[in-house]
Amino acid sequence: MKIQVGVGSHKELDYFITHGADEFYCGFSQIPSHVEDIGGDRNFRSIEDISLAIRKAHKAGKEIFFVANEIHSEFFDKTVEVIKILVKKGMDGVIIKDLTLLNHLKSINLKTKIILSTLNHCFNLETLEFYKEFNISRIALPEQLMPEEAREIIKNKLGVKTEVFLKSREYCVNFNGLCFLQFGEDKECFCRKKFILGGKEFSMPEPPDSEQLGQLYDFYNQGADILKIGRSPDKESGKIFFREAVQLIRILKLKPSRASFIKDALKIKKAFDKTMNFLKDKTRSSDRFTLRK
Amino acid sequence: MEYAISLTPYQSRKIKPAILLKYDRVYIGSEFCQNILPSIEDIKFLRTKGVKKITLLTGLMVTRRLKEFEKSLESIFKVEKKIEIVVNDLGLLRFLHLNYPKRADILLGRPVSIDYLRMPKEFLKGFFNKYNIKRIESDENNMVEDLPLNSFLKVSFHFPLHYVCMTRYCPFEKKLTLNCRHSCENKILKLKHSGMGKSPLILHNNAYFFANKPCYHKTVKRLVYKPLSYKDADRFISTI
Repeated sequence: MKIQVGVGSHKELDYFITHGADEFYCGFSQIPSHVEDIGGDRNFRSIEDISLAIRKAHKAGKEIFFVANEIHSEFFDKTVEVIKILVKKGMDGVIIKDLTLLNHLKSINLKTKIILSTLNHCFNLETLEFYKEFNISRIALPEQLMPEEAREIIKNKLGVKTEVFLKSREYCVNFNGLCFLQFGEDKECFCRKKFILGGKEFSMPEPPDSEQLGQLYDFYNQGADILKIGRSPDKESGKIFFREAVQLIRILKLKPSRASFIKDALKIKKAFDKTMNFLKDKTRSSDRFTLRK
Repeated sequence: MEYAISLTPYQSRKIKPAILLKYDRVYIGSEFCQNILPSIEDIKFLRTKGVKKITLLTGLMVTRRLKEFEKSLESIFKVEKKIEIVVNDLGLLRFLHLNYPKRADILLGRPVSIDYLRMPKEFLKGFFNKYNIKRIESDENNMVEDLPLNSFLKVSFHFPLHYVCMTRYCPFEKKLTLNCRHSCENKILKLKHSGMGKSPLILHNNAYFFANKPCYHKTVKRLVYKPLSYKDADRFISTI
């Protein structure tokens, strides 16, 4: 299983190249890509910056992909133009959600890898076959799909590779991309807030860490190809998630039992949690550390 | 204008037939939860009560559930010449297109329809034509009111619940499961948070909503009412 990391600056890219990430993806601040530049450099600011990132990645022998996974409407022409330019400059592929854009790229026969975004909610083999008509070569599986439910998608005979998120760190309580529970100027996520229900506290439930780590074990052993670390809201959390992912994959390669992996993985998570808590105190933006949005 | 009522199979058994018959059409199932899909038994039940027009509601489905529903559709098509069905899952859309191309009128459901409302009409026309999509289901007052009056889109407008988010990790079962005990049935919970203002967030089944009001834009050809309790079932239709 390879590790793919989302980057938003050269500093981040340099760090991950040095520390052995297998591949990268990045966005452009002028093109909608679900993660906007709230709270840090989550996307590159110019075509020149991205071109340099392509050159750096290729020099290190790594692939890099461009993420444009939103419905583009008024940005459609600009998105197509930017994709064409970046592919010409050597970008290895594009991560897409918009059916209109998928359709257009197919019609112009653009020669690049097409990765279907996790936001397309490909929950079954039939949906994968629907999107295969748009020449996709990979999909990012929805976070709310369990490994046993993804078995047929992962083992597909269409030649489509699969990506999964490090869900013990990055998990949306609700369907990612179909959640509109955000308020305020910076569209703060409310999914992990404490609500009041009949005078008592209510939290939206989510799977415990042990379940998420068990799912990683199952995805790995079923043959999911890529473990994905999202673009981070701050410079340090992405590095922590990456270092944790490296350790988890190192253990998985030793072929432990499921129970033994979960036990070790929880210890690793606990150790990294200490660093996270230190950063939380430092930045006072606690909610963002466990959310990709 | 057509008036419809939207019910889960469980709710449909609890509402007096006389009230059901006040509506032009009954929506049955769920757009949000794959554990609340309509069955042939639900359709037969509604038919025996005299319901003439039925729309099936479906949501996103994992492979196992989709295969089960495909089998269920076989039984449904044995007794129904043609169906109207709300689709969110593109795998189901493909299945219906390949297997029952002229026998299923497709409605694009909430919660995915918000994306389609933002797509260019040139693309949508071809897409709708290919897959026999007849209309869009929406609860987005602002987006629907922004549609051009001469839009080719036909909208069914859902109220009084406006979709906000949904989860597979069931708030009632406290787990991710396909073997559901339906512990959400007949429960409507109101959540409050000072950061959201005065409106409560309403939890129904596996989805969260805010309240909304019916939209009477020219593109809206159908109003779909979701009763929040059994005694509410005829509250809306009695005002028409």
